[in-house]
Amino acid sequence: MFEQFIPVLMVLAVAALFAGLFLGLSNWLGPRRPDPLKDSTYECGIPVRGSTQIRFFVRFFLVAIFFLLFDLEAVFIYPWVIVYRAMLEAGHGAFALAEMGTFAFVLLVGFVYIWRKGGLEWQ
Amino acid sequence: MTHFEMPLDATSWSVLLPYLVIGGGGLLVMLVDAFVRTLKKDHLSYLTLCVFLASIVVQIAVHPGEGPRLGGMLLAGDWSRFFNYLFAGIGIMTTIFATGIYDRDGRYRPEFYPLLLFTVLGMMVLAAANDLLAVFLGLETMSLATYILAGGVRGNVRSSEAGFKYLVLGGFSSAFLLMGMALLYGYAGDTNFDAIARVLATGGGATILVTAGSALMLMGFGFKVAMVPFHMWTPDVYDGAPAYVTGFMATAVKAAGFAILLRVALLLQPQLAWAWYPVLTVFAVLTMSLGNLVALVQNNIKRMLAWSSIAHAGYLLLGVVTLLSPAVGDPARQALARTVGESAASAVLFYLVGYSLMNLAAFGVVNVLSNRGGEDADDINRYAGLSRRRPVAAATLAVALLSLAGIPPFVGFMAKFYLFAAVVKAGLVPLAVIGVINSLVSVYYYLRVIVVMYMKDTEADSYDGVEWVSVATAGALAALVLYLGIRPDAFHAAAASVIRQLPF
Repeated sequence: MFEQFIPVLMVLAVAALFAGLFLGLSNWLGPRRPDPLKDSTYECGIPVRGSTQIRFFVRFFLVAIFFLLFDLEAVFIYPWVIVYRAMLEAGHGAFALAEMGTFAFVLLVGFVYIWRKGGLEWQ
Repeated sequence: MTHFEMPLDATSWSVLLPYLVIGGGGLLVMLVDAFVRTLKKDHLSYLTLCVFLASIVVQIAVHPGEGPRLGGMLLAGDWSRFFNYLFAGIGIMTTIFATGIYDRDGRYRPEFYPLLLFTVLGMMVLAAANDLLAVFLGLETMSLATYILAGGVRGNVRSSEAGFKYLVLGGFSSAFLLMGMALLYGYAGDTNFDAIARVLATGGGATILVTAGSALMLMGFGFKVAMVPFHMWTPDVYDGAPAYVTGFMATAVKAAGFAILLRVALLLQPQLAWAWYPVLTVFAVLTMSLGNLVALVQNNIKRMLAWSSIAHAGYLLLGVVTLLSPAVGDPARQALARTVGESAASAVLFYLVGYSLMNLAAFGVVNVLSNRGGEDADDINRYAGLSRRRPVAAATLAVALLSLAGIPPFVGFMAKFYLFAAVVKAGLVPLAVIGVINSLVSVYYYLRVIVVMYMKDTEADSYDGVEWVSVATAGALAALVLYLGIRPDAFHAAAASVIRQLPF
């Protein structure tokens, strides 16, 4: 069964070969005359102002975590949508709906918990 | 067209009931915590205890029968019931210990209770899993909640470090586990244990897939049970987490890890014993020896208990090794193979229960001695003269440590006896000798604490009012350690009957 993976391996090998070859060639043949302007970070032609490693307000982190949580949960709804019609035809529509309802309810409890605990207040 | 199982009939509900009680209880505790303004500090712990008790009552009352249920996802019957009782019991003890410490120093963590319930839910699913998906679901539910439990003491750097380390390394090990499952699925074309067993029995397919897959899965489980060489997180995490969480992790997480390790070992035994047996033998010996040797030089009692828990994982691994040994795999002597396999697996179960009892007693005492600043009493020298200041606590800790060392009238001795007897029955005498030598070595560091407690002069007592409920609970556990050490027969018979459900 490994024979079917040989083309994939060949693609990988050829890609690695070409990438390595041209990176190596340009490194070997290309002339190098560095000056301060060339060494500076290129940001659409605009000179960089200040340090790029600034501090973020920790609240952004919390918001990002909440977003990830609820965004990821939405992903789980897609497979359910795919099989919902089939389940409906098989006569298990109410069950499928109740399953998603339970899922949404557990999510809702999490949301309410965050809300009541003050996780959504911008302080 | 996709095929659908009949969703939920009456039997499915009765299988699900204990899981629903624990999971729903966790949600209930969360909501009560968020909405009820008039809560006293210990009300949530009473509610949590009620949920655990309700799950035990449900298990006693409802018997859903034996075998795979819910479309083959979970294994119903004595095996899962045994572990559910164990997890609920450990959960109850942990709740009591945690509450005792809040009462005194005002460290109040209401999120602890729902997290504890969700961890137990994950463990129950993991122990009962009959499908790779259920394994992963249970393992992740358990792990994610444990990461927060370990790192959840706000403002404590060591606790945060423990949680962070555990999270990063645990995520890494989960990735290995998932990759292994994917390879095993690629081999068998199914995630169900029974289907995998059928494919393994025919012996067809690419053996490299199942070998590599099972090796990766072994890494994932080995991390959870703190098997050398996947143990590096254990001392730091056990040391940094608060003592009641450490006690919980050292007992319940380990029991869940060994439950699934036993299931997977039995599943793979027909085809992969040749690969797993030598590898696990080396790992078991390394785990025992390294755990005991490093524990010898620890001055911090939580680190000492962490290394000792690694050593005990090594003893437990001997049981798994016995299951995979040539004696069990020998088709010519089926009857003998069955006896050896059953005695090894039941010895592992008995050991898990005994180890949970004595370890919880030990951590219960360590937990209750933590001082007002919230730091655990982890320096061994601070236990000097404890026998005069706190006779009950000192006696409880002494019983627990003697039992961990495997001294006769306690359950630790009987557990080791059953385990080494099974190892000898399989003809692995050298392994049993290594195990006995290791437990001799371990006597030194356990006795050292007892010597400090009973024979050194009293130091100034820096621990405030010892909370009597926790001490009484730890004392009751110590009494149980003594009782099961004297009368282990009934319980051992129960463990043996649980094992009979599993395929050999």
